[in-house]
Amino acid sequence: MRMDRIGILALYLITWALLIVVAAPLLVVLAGAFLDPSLLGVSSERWAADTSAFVPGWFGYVFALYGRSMQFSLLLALLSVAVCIVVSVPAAYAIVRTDSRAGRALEEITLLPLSIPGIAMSIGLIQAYTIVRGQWWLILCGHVLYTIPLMMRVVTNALRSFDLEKLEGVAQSLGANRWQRSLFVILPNLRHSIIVGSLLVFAISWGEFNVSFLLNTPLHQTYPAALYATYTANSFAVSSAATTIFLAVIIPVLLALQWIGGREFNRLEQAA
Amino acid sequence: MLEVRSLEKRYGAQHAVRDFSHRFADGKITTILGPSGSGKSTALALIAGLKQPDRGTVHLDGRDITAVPPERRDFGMVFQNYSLFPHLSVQKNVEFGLRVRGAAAVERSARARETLALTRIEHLAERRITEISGGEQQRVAMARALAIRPALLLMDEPLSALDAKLREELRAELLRLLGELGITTVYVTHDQTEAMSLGHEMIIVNEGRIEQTGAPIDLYQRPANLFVANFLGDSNVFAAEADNRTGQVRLPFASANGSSPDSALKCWAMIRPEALELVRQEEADFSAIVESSTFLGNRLRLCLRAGDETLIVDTANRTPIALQTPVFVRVKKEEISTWPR
Repeated sequence: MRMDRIGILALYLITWALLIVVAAPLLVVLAGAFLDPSLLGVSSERWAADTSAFVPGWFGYVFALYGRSMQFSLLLALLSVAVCIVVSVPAAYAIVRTDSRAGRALEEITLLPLSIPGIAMSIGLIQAYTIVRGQWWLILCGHVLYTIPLMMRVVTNALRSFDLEKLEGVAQSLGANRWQRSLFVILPNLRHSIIVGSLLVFAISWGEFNVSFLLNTPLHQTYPAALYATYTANSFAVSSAATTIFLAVIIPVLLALQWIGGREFNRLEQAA
Repeated sequence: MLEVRSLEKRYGAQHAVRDFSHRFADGKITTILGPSGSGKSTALALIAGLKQPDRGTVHLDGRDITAVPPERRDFGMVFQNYSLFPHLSVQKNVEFGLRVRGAAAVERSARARETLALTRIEHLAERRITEISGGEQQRVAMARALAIRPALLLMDEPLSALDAKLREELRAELLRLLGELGITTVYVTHDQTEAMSLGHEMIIVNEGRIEQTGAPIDLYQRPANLFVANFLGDSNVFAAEADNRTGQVRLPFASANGSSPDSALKCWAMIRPEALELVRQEEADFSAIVESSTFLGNRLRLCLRAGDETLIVDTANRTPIALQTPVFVRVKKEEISTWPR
């Protein structure tokens, strides 16, 4: 009994210690974003912070300097999600429904980009498409290549979790044509998976660094590349503020993923 | 009337269904019975139009509908795992067929309620599919198929996923419902009891081919071949000889009644377990030794050894018999079926 108490206490202590170790850097970053300009000493940024007084801390300065990067990264993430949905859902359907050797091979191929380092992928893209180097959508291509395997996996798994052939057969016998079957039977059952996949794709695209950094152009800088720039060129306060903004976008997405993913799991458990 | 002519379906070199021809009686239940992998589900899918035959045609009321897609055939379908739409409520599942036909919401709802009442699950209308039991799901699947007032009802092992007691209960219910509606039904199953108790007519398939068709009692009493004899019900099958002139069967273990070997025809003989009776010595055709005896509730099943053959015998007398006891057996001669060997 006594041993149990001590054991549980030790577990609590270890858990809390780990939590502090993990959370401490985040807290330091958060505090850094509100660092008083006077503490920075003489710096060009001190002046900048004073002039953007209507936004607390260093955020105004970061928005002014890297606002375009943020917009670009958000746009990239949203477009990645859109492209992934439009491509993956029909492709996953075709692969699962035909259940052919060619389909399975295709499925493996779509997973391939995950095993290629970002640097190799970027250089590959640059060398293969020299002419379009510097076009913003080449970065989009890189992001899509990295995110499509995940979307494909999520959607094919969902499609395999129910007997698609029978479900469609029944719908068909009840008079539903191809479009009605997609709209009223397949898509409603994929809704959760598409949402989960979209959140994953968004999170990965928003945080993707390798491809973003190497295909970066002065005109089209992604936010992670901008973050890197703040770490190399700006003060601790500015990079803290920039990092805080980065986290403010990605943490809600990850929480949503956790929440919906858990609900989806429960739903599947019930159905089984 | 539904008619299929010479249906054939191949998967690679293998025939799933071949030379499948039949006229299905209007307003009756036809059961298709066969072992697993015999092609019975494929045959049903060909009738439904969910699969296209490599050869042969499907006709409805004289019209060739082979090329008509399933969504325009108006055939209701019920599958083994029910395939209910998991994202819809019970009522919405039943309404589905009417919805894709563009029926107004009021009409849809009224018809769905009516059909749910027919299958006696009106009270479940608002439930989610995950909240109801297997038996209830089966009723929803049934209601969903019936709501479109189908020209034909196709059922693929609809009760196989249920436990024995529920299966029996729903079988009786199905018989009542289909009888009331008088809808032509094709019912695929691997369960003999189901096939015999539900079917006005039965089709026995094996390796994609029809072995025999007819009323269940005829198939049971006069199996057309060894496969049917072995497959349908319990049977004792053995090599025997039949007298060339009298046609009388000479059983290998009942050596007493012999006919001359030169006038004998080699044949297979089949005797049902209930066609063998335990009698007193002077009435017996042969004697045997009890090898095992199993109590089956309403009867006793004995396993007897007679000569080199092992025979199963069902007896209504349920007094246990000790093993190795010698017994005397009479054969109901008129119930022996034979085929040339």
